[in-house]
Amino acid sequence: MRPDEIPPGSLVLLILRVLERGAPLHGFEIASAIQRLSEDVLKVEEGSLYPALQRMLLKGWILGDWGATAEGRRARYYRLTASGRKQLARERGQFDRVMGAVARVLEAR
Amino acid sequence: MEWLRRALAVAAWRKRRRDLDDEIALHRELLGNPAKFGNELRLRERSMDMWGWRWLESFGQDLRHGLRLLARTPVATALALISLTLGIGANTALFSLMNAVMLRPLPVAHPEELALVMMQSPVARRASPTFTNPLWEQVRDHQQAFASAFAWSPTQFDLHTSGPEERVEGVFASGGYFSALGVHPERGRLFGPADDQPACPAIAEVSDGFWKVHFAESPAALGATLTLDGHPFQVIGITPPGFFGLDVGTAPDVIVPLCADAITNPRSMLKTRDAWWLRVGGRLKPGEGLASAQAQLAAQIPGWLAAAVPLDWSGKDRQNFLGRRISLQSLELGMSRMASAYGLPLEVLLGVAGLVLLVACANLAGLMLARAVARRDEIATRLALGASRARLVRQLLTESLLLSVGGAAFGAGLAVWACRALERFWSTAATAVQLNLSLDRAVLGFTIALTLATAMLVGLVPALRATRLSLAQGARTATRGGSSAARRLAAAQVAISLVLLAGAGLFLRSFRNLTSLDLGLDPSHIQLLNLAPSPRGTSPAMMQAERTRILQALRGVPGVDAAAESFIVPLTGLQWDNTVHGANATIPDAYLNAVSPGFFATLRTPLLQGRDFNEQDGPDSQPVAILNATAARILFPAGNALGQTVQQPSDFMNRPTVVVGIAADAKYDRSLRAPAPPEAYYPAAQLSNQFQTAAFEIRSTLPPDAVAQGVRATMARVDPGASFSLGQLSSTVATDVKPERLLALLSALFGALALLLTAIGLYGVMSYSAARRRREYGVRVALGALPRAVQRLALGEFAAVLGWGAALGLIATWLAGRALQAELGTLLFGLAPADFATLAAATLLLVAISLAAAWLPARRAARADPMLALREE
Repeated sequence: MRPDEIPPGSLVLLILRVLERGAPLHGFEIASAIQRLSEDVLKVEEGSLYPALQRMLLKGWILGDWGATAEGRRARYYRLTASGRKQLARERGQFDRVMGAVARVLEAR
Repeated sequence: MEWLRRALAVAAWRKRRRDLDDEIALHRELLGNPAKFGNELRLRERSMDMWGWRWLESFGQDLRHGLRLLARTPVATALALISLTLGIGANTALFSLMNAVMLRPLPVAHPEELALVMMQSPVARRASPTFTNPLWEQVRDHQQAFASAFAWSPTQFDLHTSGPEERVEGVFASGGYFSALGVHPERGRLFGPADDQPACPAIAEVSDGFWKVHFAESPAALGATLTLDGHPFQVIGITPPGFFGLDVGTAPDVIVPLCADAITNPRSMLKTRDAWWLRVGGRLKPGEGLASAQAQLAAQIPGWLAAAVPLDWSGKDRQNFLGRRISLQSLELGMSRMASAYGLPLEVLLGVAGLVLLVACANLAGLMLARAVARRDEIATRLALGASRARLVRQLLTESLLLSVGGAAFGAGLAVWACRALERFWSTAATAVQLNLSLDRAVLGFTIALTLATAMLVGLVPALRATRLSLAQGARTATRGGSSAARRLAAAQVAISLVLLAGAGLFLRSFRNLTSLDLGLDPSHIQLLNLAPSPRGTSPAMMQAERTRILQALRGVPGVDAAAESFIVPLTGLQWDNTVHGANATIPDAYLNAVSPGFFATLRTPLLQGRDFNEQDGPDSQPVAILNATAARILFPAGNALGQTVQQPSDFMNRPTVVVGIAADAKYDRSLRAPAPPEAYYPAAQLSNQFQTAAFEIRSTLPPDAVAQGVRATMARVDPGASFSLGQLSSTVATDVKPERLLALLSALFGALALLLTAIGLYGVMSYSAARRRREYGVRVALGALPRAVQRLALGEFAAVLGWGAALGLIATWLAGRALQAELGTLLFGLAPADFATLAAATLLLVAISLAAAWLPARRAARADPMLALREE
């Protein structure tokens, strides 16, 4: 099955959520984590991932630390900052509200 | 915080880009399928865009492109840089001077809270900032208007060191001076109210600069002894670097308590009720304005005046003293004789320098225009390929920005040099002018604003014009366009240059009028000898005897034609005035002087009637006086002054005095422009108990150094212990006309510069237009037109530019003259702003130079080989 595109605007939310789970991840790991957790339904377009990461760095929601992968490759590991946590809560609340509203519309008789 | 991260990112943007590249490479590798990863370049650009980096990259490209283009035409670039350097440099220099002289607040704590107390007598023309010490003591002890009040008086001391004697700038300062100004010592301590008492300790503060020069920054300076005017003072502290007191442009080396006047001055002025030697200031209470402090002082001043009125004054004099009014003035910028003397000239010169820069900008705009037109094809192609117009305008503006930043960099160097040169110009042998010319926010902001404005002026019009073309226009090889704008620029240059030349002419002629003025005395070849006060305890008779002996000896110095003594040397800025009563008329503020016999002959002031003073006019004989023509006319309108009696009010000569002579009017104080004031002269021998200092005027046609040598030798023989200094009267006159000299010199320089720039600009416009019309001229010549006719044709185009420019310039000059009528009235001496001869001369000069500049290109156009021109296309 061909994976679906991520709904517009929710990529940042997904990245924040994936990073909230704990260990710092590099870009590829973030993309695969989203794909894995969504059971291959969601596919992160690489062309959106890196601009989004840059924007989040700029906003101060995440920090990037350079480290080495298990294979010894140089990679940037991203982790959440306090303001990133706040942003996650904000975006999550907003998402819940919108999804709830969408569900109500769909289930209305 | 976001802006900070953004800014930091820009600083390290190369590293950021490498990081991003690494990251993407890793991703691609882990993905195992490079093809899926999309357009890497686009990905990178989009990621970078998030940080707003793109402008930097394109700016870098523009910068490199601009540098390459400028390097390709080195001569034009060098010319452009030189004109901008001169233009921006002149403006920056003048602005820093203005800033230092008029705009910089005093370097003390909260200068905006400081106020100066002014007083105005009912008969005086304007308020003056001077107080007597008894009056100051009233203020000090009773005032409630200020948080703290202080008094000070600038002075000079003879400093005796092991080396040659030296004259240093000093200040008498009240006990509250330092604490009111909020100044803290660099070392040691600064004196306070407890030190400024009748039993005065001989203590002194020295400046940081003095400490460095005289004590080599040694801590041993504290406690060391300085001999000032022959009296030992102990150094107790060092004032912080940059502190100069309240008088802008001075750099006092030594500050002593007010009470020390009793130590250095045998006839101390501390108790004298009519010696106006102090300035009084105060620090306003927090949150209080000048007006409320002034109201409080005004309520108290009548009582203080009553307590300090000279005891023997009566009648009108007493009334005038008691009727003095008080006013306050902000001291935030300090007191500056330079600000009042040079404020207006500096403002005018800054305006002139601004116009010169405008001419330079017009030149460069013309150059950029020609360049942009030449690059028409390139621009049209890029527009066609989808470059935005904004992007192209930005690129063209980057080039002019490069030029103006280069000009500003060189100009700043030029300005530093020019400021130092002008500081030297201002300094005289007697007083060194030291200004704080360091770069501050105002100067920096001014220069940056000027640079950006220059870049806009130079680049914007050409950039907009060059990118305005449609595709169709660009596609055919354009040979027209841009030239009307160039002609308009050239006409504007001609107009501005004419304004500048006319101004320069006016200031030059005004300066000549001023220097060829009849002063009523001849200051050339007059050597001055200033004698320091005699030590305390010398009786007036002894001092008089000493001075007579010195005068006799000076007359015997080889090469000396005449010598005289006087209390006040004319034109040096010192003045002594008081009331003189005639039979039926009174002069409230006649200028007075005490002089020896021979004074008038030495200074070459004609005696119109009667006799000079002679050796018989002694302390015990009939008091006599000589009036100048103006005083004689006011006191005795009938013209019979000779032999009449005049009366003086104060304690200095409260006896009827007989007028024995009438001298021609001569200038007395520094206002050369004003007519000579009413003056009264008294024999020094009859007034010898009135003053302790004296100056000798020595006339000799020998070189000044030779005279000085003879005088020193004579003094060493006659009065070995005396402390004295030498000077020249003509240099004091030169000092007085310095503002006018500066104005004349610099405006002439700027006028010449503008003329040169205009000539270059006209040459450029003419060459450009001749090159453009080469084919047309070629055809004309081929069809039989004579070269002379073609030359006339080329010059005809130029004549229109010149005619329009000159007409506009004349109108602008006339308008400027009217708008600045009041200012020019004080700046110009002996001629009107619309002086016909000056305007005509300026116009002629401009036309002649312009014709010369246009002649060559026109000639070349006419001589061109028609075949070459025709074959070109």
